[in-house]
Amino acid sequence: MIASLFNRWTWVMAWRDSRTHRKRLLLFISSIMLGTAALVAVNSLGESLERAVSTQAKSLLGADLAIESRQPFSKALERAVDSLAERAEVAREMSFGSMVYFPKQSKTRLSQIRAVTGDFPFYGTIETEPKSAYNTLNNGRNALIDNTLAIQFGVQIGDSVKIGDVSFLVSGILKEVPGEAAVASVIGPRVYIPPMYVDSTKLIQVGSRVTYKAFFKLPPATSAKAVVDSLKPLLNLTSATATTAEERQATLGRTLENLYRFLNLVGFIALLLGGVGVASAVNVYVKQKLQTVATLRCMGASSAQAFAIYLIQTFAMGLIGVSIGATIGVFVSAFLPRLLGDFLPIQVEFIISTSAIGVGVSIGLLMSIAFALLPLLAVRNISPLLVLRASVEDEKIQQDYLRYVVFGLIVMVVWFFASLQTDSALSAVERFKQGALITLGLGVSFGLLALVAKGTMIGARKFFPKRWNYVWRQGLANLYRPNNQTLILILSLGFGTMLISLMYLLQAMLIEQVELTSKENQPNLVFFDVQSDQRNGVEELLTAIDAPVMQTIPIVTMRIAAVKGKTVAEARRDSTVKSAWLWEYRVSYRDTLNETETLIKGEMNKPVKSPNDSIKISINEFLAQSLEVDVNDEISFDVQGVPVKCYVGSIRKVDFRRIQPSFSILFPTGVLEDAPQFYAVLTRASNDEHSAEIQQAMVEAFPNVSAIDLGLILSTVDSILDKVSLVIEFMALFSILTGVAVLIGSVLISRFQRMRESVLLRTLGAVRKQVVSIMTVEYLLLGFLASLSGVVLSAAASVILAYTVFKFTFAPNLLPMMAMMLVMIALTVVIGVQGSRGVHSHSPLEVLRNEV
Amino acid sequence: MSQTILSVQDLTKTYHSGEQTLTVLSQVSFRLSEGDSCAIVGPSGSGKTTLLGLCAGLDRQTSGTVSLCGITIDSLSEDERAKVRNQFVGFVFQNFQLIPTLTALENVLVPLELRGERVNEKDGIELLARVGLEKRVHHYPTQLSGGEQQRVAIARSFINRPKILFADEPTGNLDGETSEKIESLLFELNREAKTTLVLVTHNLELARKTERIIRLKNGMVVSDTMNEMQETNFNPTTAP
Ligand SMILES: Nc1ncnc2c1ncn2[C@@H]1O[C@H](COP(=O)(O)OP(=O)(O)O)[C@@H](O)[C@H]1O
Ligand SMILES: [Mg+2]
Repeated sequence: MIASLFNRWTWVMAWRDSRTHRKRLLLFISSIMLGTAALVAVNSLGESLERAVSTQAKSLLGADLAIESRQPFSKALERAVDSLAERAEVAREMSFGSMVYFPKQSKTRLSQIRAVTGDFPFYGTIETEPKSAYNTLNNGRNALIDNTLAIQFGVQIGDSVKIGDVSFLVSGILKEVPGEAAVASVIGPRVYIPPMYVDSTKLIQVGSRVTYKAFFKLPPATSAKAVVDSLKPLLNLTSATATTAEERQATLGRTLENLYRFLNLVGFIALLLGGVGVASAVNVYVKQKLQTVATLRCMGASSAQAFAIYLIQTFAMGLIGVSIGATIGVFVSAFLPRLLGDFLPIQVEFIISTSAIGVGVSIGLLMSIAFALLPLLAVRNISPLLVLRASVEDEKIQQDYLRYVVFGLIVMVVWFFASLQTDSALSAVERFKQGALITLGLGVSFGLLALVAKGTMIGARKFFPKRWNYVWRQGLANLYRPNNQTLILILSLGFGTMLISLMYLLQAMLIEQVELTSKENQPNLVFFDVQSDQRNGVEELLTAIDAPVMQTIPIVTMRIAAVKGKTVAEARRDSTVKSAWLWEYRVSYRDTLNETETLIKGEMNKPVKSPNDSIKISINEFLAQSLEVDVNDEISFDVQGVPVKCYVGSIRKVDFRRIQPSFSILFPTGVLEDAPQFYAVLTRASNDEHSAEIQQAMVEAFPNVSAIDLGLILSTVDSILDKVSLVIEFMALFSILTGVAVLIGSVLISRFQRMRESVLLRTLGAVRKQVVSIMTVEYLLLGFLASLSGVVLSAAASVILAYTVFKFTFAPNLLPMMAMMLVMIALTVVIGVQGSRGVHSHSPLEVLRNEV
Repeated sequence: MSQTILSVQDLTKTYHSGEQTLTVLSQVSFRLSEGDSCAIVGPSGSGKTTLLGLCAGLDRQTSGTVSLCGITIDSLSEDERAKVRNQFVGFVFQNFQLIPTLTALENVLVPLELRGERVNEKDGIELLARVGLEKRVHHYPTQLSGGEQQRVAIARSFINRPKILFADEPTGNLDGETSEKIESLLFELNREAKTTLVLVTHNLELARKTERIIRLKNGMVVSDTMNEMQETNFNPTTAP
């Protein structure tokens, strides 16, 4: 075999033999092209990302080191910062959520207010319009507003914006903040104000969620990690966290790597699909070459020689297909960063990556040869006897046991590749397990589609409708005639449809989850940070403006004092303290579960009637885990100076996907009523204008009260998912296009056979319209079956995913899926019939003569 | 005594389909020496093609022995048989069996090229000229008529100077006039090269041009006669 590959004649023969079929050969190998293109594009994107992350590492954080805390820094921490300041540059930032109000536009929106002291960012720049706006911010009562706000409300430079009690002049529009993705602003628009006005806004009150940050630019020789290590004990005490530029780089690197891996997997699926196309095309090709091979064998060619001829041909064609694919991939990779732009917190430059091309080309080539081998191996078993008896064994070439080896090899490659695309933080075993699951999923999908195809062929033959009219009967019979395209088209088109439809369903599923909350009679507007003395005012205001007060939820802040008898101080001393012990908890009190909660252990809270009753609280499962407590364990709290001893009465599961204030700790009634508290007030606006009206009235009367508008969240989620799905659909497009390439390929390959058939039919008196109708029927049936199976499979997959991963029952919407089916069917028929057009333009004589 | 080229001993071929056993060839024996020409005749379905296939090592017999040029091919592997064919055997088929993707010349040269020797194109061109196709050397099979294609096939069958030539209904797909030309070409070349010829046909006129006629019926040899009437004094009116 190896010797035959180095035989000159084998190569000459491979070249000569391909002469008349070269176009045909190229066409089917082209089904591998798009998969390769996808791999090259995604891999070079991966490399661009990696490079961007490493070159922009420092500007990702804007500093060498950042310390962040949800509370003002403790005195000890302040001292540490001061001593660091002796050798490092320091900048401080305070940020908090607040409504911003644009009087001219009379619009409000919850935004993230930031006030920076010092020279932040030390690395990278905050880009604004006009350019100097960030540097001159502190020169007056200026505010820099996020581009999204400017666009959403039509705010211009020079307009005013009211934040809390202070009116600011919009002095610039924020374009880019280093290390933050554009999409972040859709969720929480950023507004920068001078730090000296923070107090006068009067927004920092009890319960306000303020984040304090300190940024450091260290001297060149100082290791940020060493600084963090030295600060560690102090940070632990105050539940502050420190991040170095390197850590930020690593986390971002991993996130982007996951994104890249996911896209890579989608690209790989296109390649697999292309592989199926190659296998089927080579199969047809081998059948066409039976006589040639038999003749060569008759003349004395060894089976290895005959096999080598076709191996060389497929290899060469594969190489060409893969090269074209790589070229396309390079062009696409120039385009991908722009498609992803809003998600990337970094500037990604287009690079031509040789390693990406290498990876794409070698995987593409490997897969095309492996898939080609499946049918090609049979060449080794073609008997020279065929020269004497063409018709007897034409149909079934004896298959080769080596096929199973090749098949096993393909499965291994898929498994290995899929495993490589899983999260690199997992253990090798876990990654191979996940890879096996992906492979299994692919295998099951392919298997089911193949089953549909086989079932169709058997069913159509067995239950052949003898009474249908001729055109329909002939079209149906085409599904199972020799050299039919049923299996390959149902596989490729079905799988392509399944992918696209699954993407669509996943998106619908995520949106449906959010929409659950916007149902009739559910609150859709939440006001939080309502102070005790504002409660009545807020409720009256709402009532006056036709907004029902649906719920007023009290919130008390407290800290943990001891768990199971061990105080936080003791735990700190023996270093067993966990971060969950140090948080400030926002606790509410009630004795009933709401609809997002389910009890998993113990009994729900009972009212505490006398000071002697023990206090049984309800905590959620995650807190139980991180505190390592169970029902009846003791937890003591420090409620703003007052010690309160409690027992865990129950453990709850909370459905956090609902947009509703949820609490990890719930006290029973009768304990916290007199503690200092603030409120969240839930209401329902009847429409968008009503919602805007309510929010505006609220901002004017109570500037510190913030609102979450579920409608806005919904549209935000929607727009983010739109962007995400655009990316995914773009990748799925490769699969669909591969399916189309396979379709075109198999139509053209079988064209000659069709020509003979149609010529025969025409000779026998069929008019052209009948011939076209028969073909239309055939492709109609194929398109219908393929898209139906694809859609059904995707629906099943989405229901299973919803049930197992997202834990809810999902009913896919049928209408869009039917629309997708129609598109697929139309595509199949148009390409199928168009591709066979040449059939009619040839004279019968020409066609009959062409057959040797 | 001249050398034995083909020896067939008790050759039997059966096919099984389900429970039934179909005996296509039963206990056939004969022997051909260098330069002999022999026709195998018989009605359609009598097993002529089967016999030819077995003699050329294209198929495996159920029992019996075949040896070609002193080599017993029964126990040889497929690839070893291919080598034997390449060295000693030439073929002409009813349906020509030219490789559609190769030109006339390339088709003719295939057996030589398969040997892995350096190929002299001149040999091929000369042979094509010998069969009257010097002007069609670079044409593809689809550009040639049936008769021309068969002439290419004949040129191909002689290119490796075979010891034995198998022809299965070589004129079966051709019209009368063309057939005659092909026949005379085949016999001429055969005589010049002293090649042993095995000709399968149901055409008795053609069969008479050989020295010996083996008649098959239902897979059995019904007669094996030396042919007195050679083509020189051939008279169709005296045919039985
Ligand atoms: N693969 C096969 N399976 C079953 N029967 C076969 C097979 N090949 C040939 N036969 C049968 O063997 C018999 C002889 O065929 P063949 O040698 O082609 O006859 P001839 O060439 O004399 O017309 C025929 O009846 C044919 O049907
Ligand atoms: Mg025959």
